[in-house]
Amino acid sequence: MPHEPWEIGNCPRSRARRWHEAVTGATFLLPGLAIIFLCVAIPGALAFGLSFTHCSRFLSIQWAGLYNYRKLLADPVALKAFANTLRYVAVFVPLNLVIALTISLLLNREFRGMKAIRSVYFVPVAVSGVVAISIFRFLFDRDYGPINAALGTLGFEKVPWLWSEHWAMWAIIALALWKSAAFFSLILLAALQDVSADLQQAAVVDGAGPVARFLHVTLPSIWGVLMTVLILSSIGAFRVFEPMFVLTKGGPNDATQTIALQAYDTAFTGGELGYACAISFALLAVILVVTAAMNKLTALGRGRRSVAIAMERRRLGEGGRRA
Amino acid sequence: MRRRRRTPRQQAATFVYGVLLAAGVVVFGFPLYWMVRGALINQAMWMRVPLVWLPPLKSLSLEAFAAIFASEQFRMSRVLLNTALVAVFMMGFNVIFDCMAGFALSKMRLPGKGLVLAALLTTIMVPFEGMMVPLYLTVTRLGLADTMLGIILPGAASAFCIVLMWRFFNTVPDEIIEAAAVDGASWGQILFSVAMPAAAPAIATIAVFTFLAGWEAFVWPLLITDPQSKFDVLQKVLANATYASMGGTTQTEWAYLMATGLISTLPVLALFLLFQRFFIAGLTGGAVKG
Repeated sequence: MPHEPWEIGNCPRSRARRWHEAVTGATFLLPGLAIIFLCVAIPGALAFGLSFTHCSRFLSIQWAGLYNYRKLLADPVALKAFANTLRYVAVFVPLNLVIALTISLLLNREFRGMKAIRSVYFVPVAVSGVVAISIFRFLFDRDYGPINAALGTLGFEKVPWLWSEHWAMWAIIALALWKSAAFFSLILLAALQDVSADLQQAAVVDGAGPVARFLHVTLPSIWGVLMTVLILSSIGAFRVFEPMFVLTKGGPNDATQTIALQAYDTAFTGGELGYACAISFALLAVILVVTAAMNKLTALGRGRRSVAIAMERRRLGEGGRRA
Repeated sequence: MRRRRRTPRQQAATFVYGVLLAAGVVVFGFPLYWMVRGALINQAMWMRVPLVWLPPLKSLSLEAFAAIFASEQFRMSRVLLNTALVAVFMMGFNVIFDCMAGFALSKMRLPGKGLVLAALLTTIMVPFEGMMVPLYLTVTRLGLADTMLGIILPGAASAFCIVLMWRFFNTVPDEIIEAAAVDGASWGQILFSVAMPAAAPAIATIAVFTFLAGWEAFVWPLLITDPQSKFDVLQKVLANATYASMGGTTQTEWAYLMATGLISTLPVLALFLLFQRFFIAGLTGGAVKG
């Protein structure tokens, strides 16, 4: 007799079948949840727990109370890593948003050849982080790099980019922007293409110029996506690790040391796992606070957006009646 | 009345637009051009000062590609195989495990579903950099240091993709699942022959997403494998060689780096052009409709 997962009517087996459904469902959940539990939940909890211990490479655990956090507040290199990370975020996030938005606006037109142009802009998305790092290492090369060659033609001195305390962070920001702005303009372009053409038309009928249309129709319509971009790029910026890890190892003279890199160094070079966990957890706390603050910002924007759209809708209705 | 206004001002605006667009194409296209150029030119051309922006055809060669497949440091055929295995296994495990979990959460009656979802959403927020140290301890404790399984395991299921599948299965009507149940299908049959085919676009999204995660994985494989491991993957080898080149001692190998980069990029580029729709959806995780 075939057994139906869904019991029909009040047959005596119904309890057995419901039991069967729950057990099967739990079995379906098991592999995925087990992996996530083992590889995210446990390490996440450990990061928190170990941050209150002295813990060496060999897992000799000793309670330390708030020692690691107090040490963090007095550690000049760790504090420099925090300052560097904040500086990176403060430069990277606004630039990323402006460049990505500009590109997506430039690409949001239709004419012959636009498809080809778009794919050039989106190629950085298909290049992996490490490959991008590798390419930029050569773009910024002191003696054989094309950037210095171009500067030389224009009569400037050679700049030792990645090897200079002053310029290393800027070079890394440029490389991060290349990949990130392309990625986020892809998202923003998708949002722009969803902006209602009717609303744009209504605004034109009302005599709105391009700037007014951008401020009162386009911007409110993509506000939600824009905020998503802001949050995602901020989180990514706080976590920045790979370019410094591959190219400068935090140098020269700690100029590119960041929080994530500091945690890595403390754990795998210094062997102070407890302290490394405290640094990781501080990073996590910063990210959570920033995310929460930006979510608040999004909620505020959403209120504005709905008002603006409601107003445009009403105008659109009037425009329709007039026509 | 608006259309007649083809004024000089508008012409100027079109001109500025064209200039901006072209400048952007140069800025965003140039690094890629430089990689392709670097991969294909010969050693003599690499060392030319002042540099040649557009190398003549006779300076092009495939010697860098031949060298990285022969080199002890790059061991390209072995490394490529490892990378492909990691990417394919990660994709396969994710498609199966994430679909099973998403389906159970969406379509089956079992207690505690809300709690599981809330827990999954919380784990999405935990950044890898915040937990890589304890994750390393955990996986090492399991005896998986420097093994293939150790590389794959943390990426074999994804809370993010489970939630994505859950959201998609919620849009699949209950009726087609009930109809299959009435026809006598077991839960496993319903999942694999009814629900998963109905969710093909979402599955394509997570497949592309997790394949890329495997192909481009770098920090984790570097942590969990030995410095010179037989499980080395592409990004790790490239990163190590790039760092080595920072000291300027390995100038003869510069072309190898760009060739490796090209090898890493070409499959992704092919995927990108074939599945652009799923790319956008997958990368943005449904925050934006692709």
